[in-house]
Amino acid sequence: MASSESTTTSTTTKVLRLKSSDNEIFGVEEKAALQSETIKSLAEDGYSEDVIPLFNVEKKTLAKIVEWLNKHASGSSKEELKRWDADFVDVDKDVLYDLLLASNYLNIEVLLHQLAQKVADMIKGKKPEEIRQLFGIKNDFTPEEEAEIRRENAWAFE
Amino acid sequence: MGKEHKQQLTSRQQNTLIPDDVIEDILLNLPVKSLLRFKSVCKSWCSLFSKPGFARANFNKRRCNNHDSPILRHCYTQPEVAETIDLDHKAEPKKLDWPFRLSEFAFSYRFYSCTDGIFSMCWFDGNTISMFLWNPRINKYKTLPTPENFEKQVEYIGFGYDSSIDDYKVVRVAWPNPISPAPEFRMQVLNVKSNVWRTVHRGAPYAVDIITIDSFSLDFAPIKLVHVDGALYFVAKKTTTDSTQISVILRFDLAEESLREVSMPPSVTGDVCDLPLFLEVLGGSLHLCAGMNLWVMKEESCWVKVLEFNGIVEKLRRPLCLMRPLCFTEAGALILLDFITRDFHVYDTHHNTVRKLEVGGDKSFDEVILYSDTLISPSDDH
Repeated sequence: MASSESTTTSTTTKVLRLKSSDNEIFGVEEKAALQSETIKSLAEDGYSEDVIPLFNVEKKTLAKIVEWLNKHASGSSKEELKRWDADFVDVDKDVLYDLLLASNYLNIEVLLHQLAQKVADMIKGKKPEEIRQLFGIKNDFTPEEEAEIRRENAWAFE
Repeated sequence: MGKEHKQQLTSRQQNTLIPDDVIEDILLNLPVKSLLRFKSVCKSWCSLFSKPGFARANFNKRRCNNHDSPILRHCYTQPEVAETIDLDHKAEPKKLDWPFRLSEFAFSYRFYSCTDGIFSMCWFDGNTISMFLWNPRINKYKTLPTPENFEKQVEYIGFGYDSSIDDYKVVRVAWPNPISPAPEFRMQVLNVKSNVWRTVHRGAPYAVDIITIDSFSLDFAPIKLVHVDGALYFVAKKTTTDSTQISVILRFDLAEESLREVSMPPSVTGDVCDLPLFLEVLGGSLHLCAGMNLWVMKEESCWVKVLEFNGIVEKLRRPLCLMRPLCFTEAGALILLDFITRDFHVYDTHHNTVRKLEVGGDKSFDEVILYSDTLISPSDDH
């Protein structure tokens, strides 16, 4: 931004403009947007007057993230927020996955923890084979080693 | 989590890009049962779950989120009766897997307390008595040296975590001659890493609360030394300046190793003729059962009455029963143990209703201890 005539200390709330990887622009109040450590440091680096490019987040995910940022800056009561958050993370696996990556990239700690808890709830009852498939993990145990772990922790496999 | 856990947690395929620290964040939220099962996912997960830092972070996280209420109930002379039950989730009682063959020590054993999923206990094999710490979930135990005159006098044993030195301390309060007019009082501490007993207080003017022992029968008393937030609490008697005896609550700070009295709720006089006082930890807070009232300590010396047992006793249509509060359920109800019938009851504090909790297994247990499932090992070199 070249000559901004009014770099005043205005009392009106400042709006940051966030651009998704597929070039959609979202206007978010500064207070809400700065819950993201990544946006905060980009804003401090001088992007704040311009569009802040978020190369790793698509618009459909960014729309959800913006929704979360706004809600968490709205001054809702704790109970209200708790209910709202429960609904927010109640999405299918692929959306959850995108949100997880986006909140990690944007460094929004509170949201990241909520999502981690949600994923944990989803996977806690699964079998090791299902977990490997879900996370793309290769089984590097020999059949004997795996049988030994199963034997030592028989209780956990009931 | 510290950097020491940095390692490749997944061998990724092209479409999975979840960073390792995010995967670790997810895993930290899992219950112990899932983690033990997922040890067989891959080697890096297996070694991650064995790290002390992970085990503690997992425990701290779940402690904030959950209301796990598993208990251990056992009988001193019948180790085969010892079983764990998750009262909140209606799981079937599960026999304990002892780390040694039962025939080798068929004489007697005792659980003192449970902190962070680790039991402090002793066993007597007919010749020698051993003291140890044991986490049954990961089947790790550590043998401790037995203190002088162990189990030959009135003594309380408890232990807790001292975060200032990242170590557990086992504490022993002993009265070599409890019924003498001026009984000697001795406190000893063992740092688990160094594994040596040392005496920290001696001759302080506190006597054992004999009433507590008599009225519940020695075997079926609640935990004597309870652990809350880096301190151990217990009830003892002291003689006041006008030569009367009163019950007091003592707090032993694990980091400072200092001992002091904690003031009681205003209406609790500590009169030794009243019903005995006993301490419980419910939902992570210190609770005091005084007469027919249950109090919670909100902050140092600030007590708030939680409930009166009178109403519950009336509802159960029993003349008088000694109820021991065990834990809160996820829904906020209080689970109580009837000392006499050994039944469990659920008291809904909102609707003021009581119902019996049907728990399977037999009732020939002497004691019930609340525990938590953790991956924390008593034998780690942290």
